[in-house]
Amino acid sequence: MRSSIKNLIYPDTEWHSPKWLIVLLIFSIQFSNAYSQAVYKGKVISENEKKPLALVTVKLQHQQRDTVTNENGIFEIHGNERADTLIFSYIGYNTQKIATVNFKSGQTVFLKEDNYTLGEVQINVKKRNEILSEFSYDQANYSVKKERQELFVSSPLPIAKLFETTASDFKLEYITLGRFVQKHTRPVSAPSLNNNRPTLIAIDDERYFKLNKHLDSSAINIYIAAVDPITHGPGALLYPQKIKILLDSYQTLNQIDLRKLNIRPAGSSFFIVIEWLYELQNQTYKIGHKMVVENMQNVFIPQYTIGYEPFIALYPQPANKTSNRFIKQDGKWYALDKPTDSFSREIALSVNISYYK
Amino acid sequence: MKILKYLIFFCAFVSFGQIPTSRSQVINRITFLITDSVTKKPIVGALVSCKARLTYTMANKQGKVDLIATKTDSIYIEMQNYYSKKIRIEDAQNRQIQLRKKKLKTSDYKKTNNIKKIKHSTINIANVKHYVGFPNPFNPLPYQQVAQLFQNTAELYILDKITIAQLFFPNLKLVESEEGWIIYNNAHALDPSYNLSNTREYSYNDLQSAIFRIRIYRASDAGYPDEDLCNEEINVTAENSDKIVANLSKYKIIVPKGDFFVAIQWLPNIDNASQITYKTFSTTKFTGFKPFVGIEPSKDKDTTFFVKDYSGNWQKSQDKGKLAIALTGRTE
Repeated sequence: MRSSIKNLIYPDTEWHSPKWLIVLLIFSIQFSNAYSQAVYKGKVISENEKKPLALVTVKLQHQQRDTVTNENGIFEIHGNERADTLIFSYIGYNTQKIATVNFKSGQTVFLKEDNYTLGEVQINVKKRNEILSEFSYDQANYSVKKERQELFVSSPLPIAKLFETTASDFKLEYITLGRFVQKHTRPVSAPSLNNNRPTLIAIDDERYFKLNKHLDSSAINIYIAAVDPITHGPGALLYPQKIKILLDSYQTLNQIDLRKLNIRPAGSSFFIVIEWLYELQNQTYKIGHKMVVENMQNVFIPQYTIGYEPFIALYPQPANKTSNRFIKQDGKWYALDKPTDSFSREIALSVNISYYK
Repeated sequence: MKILKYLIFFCAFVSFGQIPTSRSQVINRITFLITDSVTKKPIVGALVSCKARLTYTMANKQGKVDLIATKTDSIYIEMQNYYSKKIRIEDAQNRQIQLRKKKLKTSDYKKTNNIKKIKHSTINIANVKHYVGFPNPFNPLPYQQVAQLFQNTAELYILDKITIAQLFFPNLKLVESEEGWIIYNNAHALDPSYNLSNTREYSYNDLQSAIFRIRIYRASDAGYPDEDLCNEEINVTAENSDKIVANLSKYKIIVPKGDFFVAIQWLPNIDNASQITYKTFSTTKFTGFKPFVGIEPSKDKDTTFFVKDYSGNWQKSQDKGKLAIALTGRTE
């Protein structure tokens, strides 16, 4: 290329003469000195964390050239060998200036954190579970020794139970319902006596079984309501619809899954409302007897007692620990009085909640 | 308002809801004589109901009925094979009410040797978990009849046997001891330590026995029970079992082709009386009459049966399911 240009300028010149060769040599050395390039390579690291910094702007001040560091903090900037200043700048760090004369290729540049940078914020997203108003299987499950010991609640009017927690911004996971159930199979008879006849009195379970016709399946409606700030009773519904529940297994503890409904009460307390359904399908029957006077004579007539499943178990608990309860009548909620004695009864209903802390 | 309603029901039952025959203490008792309009003979077992007082009673052997009511109340009198009557008490002259007898339709049937047995529905006792016939706080005056619809495809169908599921608690005995009345199972003997001298013993089976009436109706065009197909009164004594089996062959009931109803009529008397309480309505007690008829769940969720209230109107029950009634018959 270069020879063809010389041919154009000096067509008749003898190019192979030593004189021309020397001139050409001197020229070529001077020319290369004037356009020599400098490459600056290095790595940018934060001074506190000793970690490479990506996307740090690296600039040659006078030559108007710039680049950024890669994810390993490494940069490469091309310039001429004129004396210049390298400027390293990054958000949250102090800007550093290094003269190209002092910069050695492959040097590590430490950037100091800005004084105005916030202190370290740690976010620990650990899921925590809590059971509100927890009860055990033994508390809800008991055998009936006397008929008067039937401890359960089955109400014609909806009942609401208050749940309180110290957690905020939580989600309802499960409701556990303790059901009072009659044994599905006949209870085992009491051990025989010497005369090989079983006793009457020891087999109350057997007698109770005989007198009752219980159900294994029953339907119920559940609502979840917020606490009304004025009445402190159940207020607006946290889930707009009634939650229909069919208890179709004959077990004491029934777990109701609420996870898909994504219910997140706003405050730290909420109500669970239970509505019994007065349908034939929930009826249970029990027989007894009553004496009436007919023509001056005592006559026995049967006395049938009808109940509506599910019977939700009650377990003993001190009155100060017992939750607040409300009952709905004619569209209004009324607070139920708490018993004053030390042993009150609590509705066997607990809620699992989860939150992040 | 609801509390007021319950209060009224409660008061009504305190004063009137007792066993019908133990009402002698109430002052405004009115006695009627119910007679046949032609023969002037008393009609035994006529059912008299007073909707305003929520009471109902039956005519005794002399055809007399005791009722607690005011003169302005109207009463409804019904008897099988007679035209029903609704009358105001003050309009009844000399406290006598006459019922007009229906003209009976005699159906001829010829006896042939080709006998075919036909079964209508079967009962699976294990499925029967619910029973109807109880008064309840929402409906304190129970119905006087329940009916189940059947379909007959045969030309000449004669009913032989009817099976009904009822509420029954088996193997229980009641014994008076030093501690009062105790209930025990028949299967187990009493503890020998109990002093059983001078004691009385009742069987719970006897307490639960009942007498009721079976009615057979032809279905009307609208699908409600209409014409009575049996001229005679079929009174059945419930056996000590959860299945009542009644033999109807001697009544020679001929069911025409098409829809027909089998109904159970409760007889309100002391033998059938029982007390009903609700666990959730502790103060309220009602009087109900045995037997309590079983209900079987149906695959079709809208299946229901028919009930007749004390005003004599048939209506569809709001309870779902079908009555646990099975029929056996024959064609000839």
